[in-house]
Amino acid sequence: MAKMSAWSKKNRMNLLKLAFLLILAGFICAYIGGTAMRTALINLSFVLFGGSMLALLPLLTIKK
Amino acid sequence: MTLELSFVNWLLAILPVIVLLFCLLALKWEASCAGAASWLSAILIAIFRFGADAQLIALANSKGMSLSVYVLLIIWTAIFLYNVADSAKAIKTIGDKISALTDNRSLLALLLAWGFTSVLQGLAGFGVPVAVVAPIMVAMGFPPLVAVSACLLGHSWSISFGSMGSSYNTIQLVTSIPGEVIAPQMALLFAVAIFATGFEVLYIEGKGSAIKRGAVPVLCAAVIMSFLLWLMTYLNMSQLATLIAAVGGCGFLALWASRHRSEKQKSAEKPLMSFHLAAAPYYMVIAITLIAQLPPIKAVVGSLGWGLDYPAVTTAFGYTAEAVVEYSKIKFFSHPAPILLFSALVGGALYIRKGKTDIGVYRRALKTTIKKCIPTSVGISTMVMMALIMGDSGMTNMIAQGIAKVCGNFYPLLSPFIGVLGSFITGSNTNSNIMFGLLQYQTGLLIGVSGVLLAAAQSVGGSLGVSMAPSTIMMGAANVGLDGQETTIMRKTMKFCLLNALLVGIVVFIAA
Repeated sequence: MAKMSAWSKKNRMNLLKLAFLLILAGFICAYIGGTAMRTALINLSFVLFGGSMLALLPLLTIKK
Repeated sequence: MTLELSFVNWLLAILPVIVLLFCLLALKWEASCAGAASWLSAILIAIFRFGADAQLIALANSKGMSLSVYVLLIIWTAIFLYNVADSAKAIKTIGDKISALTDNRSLLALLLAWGFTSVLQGLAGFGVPVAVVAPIMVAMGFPPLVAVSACLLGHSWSISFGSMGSSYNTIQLVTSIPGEVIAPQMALLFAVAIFATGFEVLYIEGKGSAIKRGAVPVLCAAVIMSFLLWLMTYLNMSQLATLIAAVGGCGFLALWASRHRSEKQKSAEKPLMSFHLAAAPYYMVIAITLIAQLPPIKAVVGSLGWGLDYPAVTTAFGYTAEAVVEYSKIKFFSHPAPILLFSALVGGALYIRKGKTDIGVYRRALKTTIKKCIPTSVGISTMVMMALIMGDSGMTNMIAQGIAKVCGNFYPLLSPFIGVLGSFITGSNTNSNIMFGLLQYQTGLLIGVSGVLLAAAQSVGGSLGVSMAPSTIMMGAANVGLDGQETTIMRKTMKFCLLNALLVGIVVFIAA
């Protein structure tokens, strides 16, 4: 069994959904920012991608 | 100024892969978290060692997501179609029909673990074959270890062209090799795997005596399956290659099995629905795919699609990722996703009309699809972005140069094992192709061997490697009540998987 806190276990799917939505939003910003050389959007994409990584943090577990 | 090939640089280039391996195997993180960790490491190494700037990283991430969307659309719609059929008990009907064909257990093992799993791989894939067939086999009296091992190995030949060709599409996308060039070579290499996996399923079921009983049908079915697989790729209908080959093999085995049918089977209980009604959505997928391939139709609708354009980007060390137009273009009438979605909706309507299910079938199927696909989507997205950052910053090229320098002319022999490694790490042929497809192609060019042949060997190795991937094994074990015995299953499948990769490697080495 995975060692996961009750909160993480309960919210696993919501955290994964949030991470995926943030990745999708980051994708849009990265594309527009990268092709139009708009630094603010590129930075926003990094923030969104970073957010998605943070959303995955509670899911880090050590499985038996 | 260029970044020279040194051990430190090579090690840094491959570090994201090592991070992924470490997180999955040593820390036992789930794929989405391991993917994110390796993605982050790729970003940091690309910026601080390989001279990537913020624009390059942003565009590589965006390219990665363009590629992910292409693949994820197939996954989501294939699983949705499967769930619609499963919710209406159509999958059970199809499985029962196959089970009722014979009382010869070796033939039944072949039919289910080698044939039916591959049919399901052709239709859905993504773990569905093992998850569906292994429990059916256990219910029929096969030992759980035999059932899950046979299913894992039995369908490992069918993965690249399965799931409506998602892995095959990926190897094309990452290497830019046209499908009609790489697919026939993949089919020829897969012929080796088809023969080998057939005999391995027999061996797992009943060792030497099963091989004696089943050698003739395996040989005949393998010839049919190999020919159909090659024919479909030759006709440029590779997305259906696994499905048609597996259906052909199953059809032959079913005919063979009917000679061994007992009276008990002949008077089997009445099915929930007719076989043809159960398979109707899948018939529709085949029909629409074939119609979309007709030249007049293709000429009218073939170019309609969506894809993003990307400018060229260059690292501080002068490595350039070329500009691309309509990157990983989704063609509305030939991409599998719209076909699968349409078939799912019409198939569901047919089940409802015939009274086999209710209108809630779509809601239930969607709910199950989201639950199954979200973790996969996060895992795939992060790993694909990692692979694209590695590619665009020159890290993949650096790895390829290092391997080519060390292995030299023996590289083709090892080529399928790299595909196996990718699948072992990520649990997916698609991810393995994303991770190593370009590397294999570039290595081939560097050592003067056909890059197409090595890219084909990559995808074939990636397909075979799924049979020993921890994530697939864990899923199979959970489905047959063997939780905690994953190592036992892996030991059973690993030796056969490595043998298959070696056989393919020998063919590649001779052909190179």
